[in-house]
Amino acid sequence: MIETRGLTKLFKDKKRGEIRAVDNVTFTCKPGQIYGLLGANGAGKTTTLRMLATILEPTSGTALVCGHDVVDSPANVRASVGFLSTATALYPRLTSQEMVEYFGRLNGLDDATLKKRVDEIFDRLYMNSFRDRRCDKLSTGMKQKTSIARTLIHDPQVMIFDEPTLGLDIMTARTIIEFIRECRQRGKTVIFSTHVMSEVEKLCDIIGIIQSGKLLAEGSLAQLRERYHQHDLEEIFVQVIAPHYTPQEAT
Amino acid sequence: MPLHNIAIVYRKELTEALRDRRTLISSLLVPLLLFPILTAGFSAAAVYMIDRAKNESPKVALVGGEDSPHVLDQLRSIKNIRIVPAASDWKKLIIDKQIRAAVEIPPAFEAEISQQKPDVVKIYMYSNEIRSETAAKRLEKALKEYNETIVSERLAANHLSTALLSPFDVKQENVAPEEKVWGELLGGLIGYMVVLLCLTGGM
Repeated sequence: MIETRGLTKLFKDKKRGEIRAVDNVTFTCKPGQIYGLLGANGAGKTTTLRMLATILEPTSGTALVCGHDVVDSPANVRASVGFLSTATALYPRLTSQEMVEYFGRLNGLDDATLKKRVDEIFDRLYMNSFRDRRCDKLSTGMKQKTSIARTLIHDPQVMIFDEPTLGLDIMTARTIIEFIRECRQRGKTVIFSTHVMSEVEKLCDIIGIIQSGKLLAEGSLAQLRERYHQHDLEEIFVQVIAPHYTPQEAT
Repeated sequence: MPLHNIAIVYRKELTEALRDRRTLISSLLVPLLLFPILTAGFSAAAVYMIDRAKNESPKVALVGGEDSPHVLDQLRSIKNIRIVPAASDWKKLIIDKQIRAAVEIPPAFEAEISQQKPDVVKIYMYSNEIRSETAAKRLEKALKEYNETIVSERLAANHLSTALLSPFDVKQENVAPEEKVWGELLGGLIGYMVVLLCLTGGM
């Protein structure tokens, strides 16, 4: 379960002054649900997800992840969260298995549990053929699978995906989409950010449209279609953000 | 961060470092193999060069001295030196390393000496060329001996002792124990090695 209440993040920039990257964002995502955070570049998606993953501290407001406050109990939040993005780096000189085991150990798994979990995940994601290959020798798809395995190793209840298919070929992207679906089936709370409309249409139970750090619209796809009298999600998206969009925000 | 996690991160970092060829070369291969090989190699090369220079009988050109037979005898008596007549371009021959050095005896040198007038014998050589410097040192040594012989003869002619020129000697003696002497040497070397390893580690 993820609950944010008035989540706000301000950055100070010498040239631009105070930047309100996330502005009073409130939403809830329940177990077994996929919450899609839809927004243009620079809208505040990544900053929101980073606050949920305790990488950034909110300026004001709060967020609870599995009942743990991101400011008061960051360690408990991190233990409950799996974070995946396309930009997630792997250690090039570790093998795929070592990489996954490393994060398992950091999450406090004992050797027996770790071995069981590694075998399970490597079987499930068809990773056995490259488990002993160094990460710098892996293909993009293999790397992405290793990243997925790394996020799953401690069996987190909340999965956070930050533009997980950005720059991936269609087959690798499909693997990720399947994986996100599987997370929902397993009853996990899933939140992911994207600007790919088709992914949102395929996956999301609730869609939040964010622009200039503000959550401008929220609801299921059916609710948004009814509210904005449009069938196409792209048209809905443009209609929602147009009054708030300035091209220079897209960085 | 808990100690347990520090150990996990440390182990991971070590694994990564040991698999990195660049790290291995700069932190292990260079200091453990390359530096000793280079040091030993340079020392061996230097010893070889010095030995070769010592064992060589360098050619030395004699310029002038036709009217000074005693000094010529003294020069010809030097072991491991071949005195040859000076060609007109003897300076060029030194530069071209055809001859190693030249010694110039001024005209009427012995006549001037007998009248106790100071004079200058010049040795020409190729600076920093080890075989040329060796030849020049041998010439200088022989000429100093000849100089001392003349001084001794002059003192004897005036019924004076050679001790007159050297009222006392100066001697150095080490009082520190051997292990302290070696400790001083090693202490300096360790500091040098630490700086060197820090630099190679940061490469």
